[in-house]
Amino acid sequence: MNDIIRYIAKRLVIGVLVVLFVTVLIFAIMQAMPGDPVDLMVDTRVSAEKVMEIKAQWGLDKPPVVQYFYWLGNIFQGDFGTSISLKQNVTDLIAQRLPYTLMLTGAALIIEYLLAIPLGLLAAVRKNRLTDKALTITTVVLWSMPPFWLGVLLMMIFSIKLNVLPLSGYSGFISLILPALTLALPALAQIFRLTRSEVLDVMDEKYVTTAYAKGIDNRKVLIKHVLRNALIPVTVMFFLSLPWLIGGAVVVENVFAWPGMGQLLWKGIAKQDFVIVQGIIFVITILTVICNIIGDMISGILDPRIRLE
Amino acid sequence: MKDKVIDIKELCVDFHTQGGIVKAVDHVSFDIRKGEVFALVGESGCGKSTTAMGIMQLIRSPGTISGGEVHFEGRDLLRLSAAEMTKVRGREIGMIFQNPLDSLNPVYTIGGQMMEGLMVEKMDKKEAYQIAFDMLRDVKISDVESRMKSYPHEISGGMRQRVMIGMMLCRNPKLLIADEPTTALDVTIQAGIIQLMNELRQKYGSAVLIITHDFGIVADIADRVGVMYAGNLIEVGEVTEIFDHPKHPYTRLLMKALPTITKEEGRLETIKGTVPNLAEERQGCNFADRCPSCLPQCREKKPVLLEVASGHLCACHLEEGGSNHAR
Amino acid sequence: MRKEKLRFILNNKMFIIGSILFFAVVLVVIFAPLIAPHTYAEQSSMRLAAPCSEYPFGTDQYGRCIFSRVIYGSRIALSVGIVAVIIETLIGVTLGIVAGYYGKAIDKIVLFITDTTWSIPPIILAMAIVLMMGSSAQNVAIAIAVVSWAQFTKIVRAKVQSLKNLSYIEAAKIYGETDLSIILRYILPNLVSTIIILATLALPSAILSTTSMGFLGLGAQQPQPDWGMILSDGIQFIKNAPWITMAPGLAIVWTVLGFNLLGEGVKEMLDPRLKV
Repeated sequence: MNDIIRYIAKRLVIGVLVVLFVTVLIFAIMQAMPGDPVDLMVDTRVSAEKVMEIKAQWGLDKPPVVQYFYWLGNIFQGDFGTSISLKQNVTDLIAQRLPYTLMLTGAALIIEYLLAIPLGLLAAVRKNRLTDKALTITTVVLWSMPPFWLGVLLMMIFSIKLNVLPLSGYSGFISLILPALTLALPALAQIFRLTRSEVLDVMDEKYVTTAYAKGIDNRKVLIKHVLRNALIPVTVMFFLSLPWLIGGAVVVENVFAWPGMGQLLWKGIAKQDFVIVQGIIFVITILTVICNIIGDMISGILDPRIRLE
Repeated sequence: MKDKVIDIKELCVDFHTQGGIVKAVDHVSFDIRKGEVFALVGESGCGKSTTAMGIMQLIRSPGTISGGEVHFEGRDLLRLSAAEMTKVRGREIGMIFQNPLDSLNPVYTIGGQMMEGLMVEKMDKKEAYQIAFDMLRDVKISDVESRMKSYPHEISGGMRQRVMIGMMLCRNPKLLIADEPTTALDVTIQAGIIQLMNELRQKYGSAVLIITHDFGIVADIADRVGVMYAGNLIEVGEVTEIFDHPKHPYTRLLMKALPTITKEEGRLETIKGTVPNLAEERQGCNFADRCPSCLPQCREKKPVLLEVASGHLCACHLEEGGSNHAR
Repeated sequence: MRKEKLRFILNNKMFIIGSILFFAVVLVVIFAPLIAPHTYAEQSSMRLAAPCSEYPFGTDQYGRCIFSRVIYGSRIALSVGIVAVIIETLIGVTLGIVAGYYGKAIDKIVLFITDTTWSIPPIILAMAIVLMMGSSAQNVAIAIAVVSWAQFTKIVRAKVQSLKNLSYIEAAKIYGETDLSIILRYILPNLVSTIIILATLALPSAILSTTSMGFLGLGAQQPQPDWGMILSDGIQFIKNAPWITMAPGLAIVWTVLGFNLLGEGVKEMLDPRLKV
């Protein structure tokens, strides 16, 4: 038990360090951005004193290092500042939109894994046969699809041609289907391939032969010995794939006018609104780090060997 | 004649490769008697492990059992359904493998893995625990209580092999197959494992099929020995008989290649040439190309196992009709 | 040996199909002016025209030939993708070798940096970088490289760690060869096949990222024919002129699929057990 606690503690420390490092990175990028944020924010008619006052209020008259700590302090109090373009509190904006993004990525993750794991297992059991080949080709094609085009195709088929699903925006659960599929299908390929290759690797392991030699029946060996070991990296990937999925969500949300963070981020970028951009990157980073830590913890629980590393 | 535990007749295992069909086990026949230790020896790749896997029906694609009979307890195992064969494994025939680290599942505890096999028979957990516990003590593992909760990577290689032996003996099978049980272990630990197997087979009365390339182990533990070469069983007999009067030229060369303390020359002999490609269709004896006393008929007709002395079988044209061959 | 390689290639259908798709793209890139009936910026009075013999994939809202724009767009997609992969290979391999070879604190630092880059969704970090540097094809290439070198580092590092302990490399050390000479003479040659595999597999994802950035309006600007941009412009006309989105979409799938299959084939040939 001690091993696990020490292991988790180590991961937590690394996670905090990563978050801090990312804040430095975001801050550096924003510093390097062309144009003074306050000049962008205020009207040209505002007097120079007023500008100085605002800068002092934000700590922008101080050297960058001090500014960084001001900014960091605000962030950890949950204050991401005021959006330049929307004139709204960024914390509120994110809080409004985060649930939609989580809903979309969550639904996509579920679809992805519910399809990929059984298909991967099936392909492995039928290795080199027609089922395996057909599945492999299908997933490579899906993997090569830009999500935004897949989204457009699904829209054309289900919303315009068949008119069974809403075209875009959010109008209840039903509008989740197309964006979630768009996000899940290309990502599915990776999990499918991982499951397939892990199952094949584990089936070659001697301990699987041992299990058969002990007189355990085929179904039990596949579940208790093969899947149990093969799914360790797959489960870990469940958590590690989040950043890619959120990245994909930014694009997909824009295709479907989904009211999530991705669309907000895109608006922020289009309007050069760095307050929004840094706030969103920070939130996403925290989410990712949390998921990474959970992933590491799960792998520690599932695989007793890892705890010793 | 003593009762036979298992009687293998003309067992054939083929591997379908791109280069053609490899006859990894080619019409191999032998039997093992009650309480006996039978050793199958030969170079790596000669088909001895494949024979064992064939008996257990654990051959994996691209390999298939293409013929033969395996009589065990009055039935032919090769004719059993998959479900019936599952019941034979572990319960009636147990098997341990070469590398004890790979052979135990890394994510389950020692105790859990021992109990898993026992609980196949609808045994309750408590009873299974007790049997596993006693068995671990029998294989001389100290501090059994905490070992039951250990994971395989937490214990040493020798201890893992003891666990494997215990795991396979705890259901008291009539036959235990040990595939190179000591090869992956340190020399100092090997002797302990062999001694343990010797003790346990006396206690539990299981017959043992041991697969090895080490004649030292054969001398230590086996009653009878079969020598395999390139998929064929070429000589079978009592250990003392084979050691004292090896008949097949391959066996003789194998004996000469053994390091012994009494040997006066400083160098070990080697057998010239290499094992033939088993994917090629060939006539005659598989050993003909390397044989120091090859006869013309050796390249035409395959020799069959014939009794050359009481209980001593040899597949060699030199032995047919008691011809006097070059020494 | 050579014969076996040849047989292997002929048996490897993925590799063959990938190569065909790939060479078709290369031909299009080279001969774009000959294939395209119009230039990419040429406007006509026929706006949002349906596919016809004059405009095989129709026209957009400015009356530009979609087919010609997509043909010229291959130049942008491929050049941005290739430049991005070259940069990320240089960064990733260098850091991987340094971390794997020197180990200890340097290794820890590199590992920490890679972990950190994995913590920000690559496309989002790339968006921030382009935002910082300004929208242009070059900046997109740089941004993609900056966010995707970590894969190279992780795999190269692991490979170098195992190479480092080979006896001939240890022998070279004992003979007093400098680190640089050991890396160049013994380690790098052993990494060639791994690097080739990683680079061929990185190209399709770089191209996908390029088009995603273009879709979001970051990248080559009008009237440059960026595939992602053509597609995102087409979405508003999805009901009246769905053909606008077809040509760029097909072009992206063709190219990315071709490179993916090629990459898989190369991996199968050089190192089938490499986990990417």
